[in-house]
Amino acid sequence: MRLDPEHVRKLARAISKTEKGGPEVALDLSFMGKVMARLSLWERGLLTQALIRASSAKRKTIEQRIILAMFVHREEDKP
Amino acid sequence: MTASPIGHNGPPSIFDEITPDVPKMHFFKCDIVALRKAIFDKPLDIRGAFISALLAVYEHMEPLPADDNIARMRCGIMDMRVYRRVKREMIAYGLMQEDSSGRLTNERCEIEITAYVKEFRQRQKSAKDREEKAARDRAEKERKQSSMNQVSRQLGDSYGLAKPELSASYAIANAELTGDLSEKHNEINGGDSTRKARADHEAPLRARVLELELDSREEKKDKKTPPPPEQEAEQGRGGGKDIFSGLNGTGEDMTKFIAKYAYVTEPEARRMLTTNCQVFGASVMMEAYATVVAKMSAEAVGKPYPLMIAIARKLKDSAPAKRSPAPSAASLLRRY
Repeated sequence: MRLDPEHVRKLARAISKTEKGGPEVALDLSFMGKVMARLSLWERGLLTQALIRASSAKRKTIEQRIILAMFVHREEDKP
Repeated sequence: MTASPIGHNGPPSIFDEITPDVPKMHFFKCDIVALRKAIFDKPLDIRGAFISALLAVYEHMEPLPADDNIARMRCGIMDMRVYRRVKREMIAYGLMQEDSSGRLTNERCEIEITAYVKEFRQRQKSAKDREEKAARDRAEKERKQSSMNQVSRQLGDSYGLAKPELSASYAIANAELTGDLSEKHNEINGGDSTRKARADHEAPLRARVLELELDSREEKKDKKTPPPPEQEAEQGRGGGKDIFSGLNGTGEDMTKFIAKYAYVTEPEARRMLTTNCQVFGASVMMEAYATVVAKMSAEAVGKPYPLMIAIARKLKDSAPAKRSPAPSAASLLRRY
């Protein structure tokens, strides 16, 4: 599947490496708060799980890509 | 996420140091490996409650308040009983810590918020230093500019022509520049006695002056008979006043003619006319002027002023033949 360069750049800017080598994702607070307000505790847990899997995956599926694309922090969101 | 022991009078918290000028966080950096390790074996609702509590702490940049009602609302949990249950379980699992005041916090959150506040303070300090430096540079520049303006005002005539010591050196330089540089004078070939001293304000056209000086030198060298009294009077250094009076009123016209066709100012033209009259004679200059004016009325003349000088020179050269001195008695006897 051919990836959109802008999408790749967006994820690359948001996902970095920690000192131990694991991924570190910049998650948008405002959007996550709005989404969490619509979900039950169980669904929030499920979402958290999905985010963890999406961030850790080496070869991301389209679902994982879209979840990350929705929740990562964007540069243009800075005031 | 390990539980950190917080005593009754625990260390000062970063949350206490956050001032109102610090802007709110818009995102947080989630260490995925640490998060997975913390919640992998926990039930999904506890995972959900934990992530909600973290979001609340980051959003407000302070621990969850001890007041359960406010804390519940911040976590987005509708039911108080559900909140109290998940709160107990999170504390039991070590996901959240309760401090002495009853507030809920997390070690990782404190680290993240501390780093954020430190970075903000650093940027604030850098911006302030940059602004101060720019202000200092601006003040320095203005100070230099004002001191330069002051100095230029003090100098007045900045080229120093008004200063006596500089005007004296200017005269020396001027004399050297107008000298005949083509020939060096020494005791063998004699000095240039025909060179006239000039005042500083006189600046005759250099080429024209050299030409006239050479002519006057030749005239003095070839001099065999004394010039007639009338020519002597004309050539004498009586000043411009006598010369102009000898021009029969055409002095002004000739001055204007020279100014126009030699491309000089009127004072300069007057000086040139004076010099020409001293060299060629007033009558010769008048005749040359009349000839050129007549020629210009008949046809187009390319260079009127050089033509006038050329005519004057020709007239002067032919003048000894025209104005031949009175024959001597010996020559008359030879003739007859």
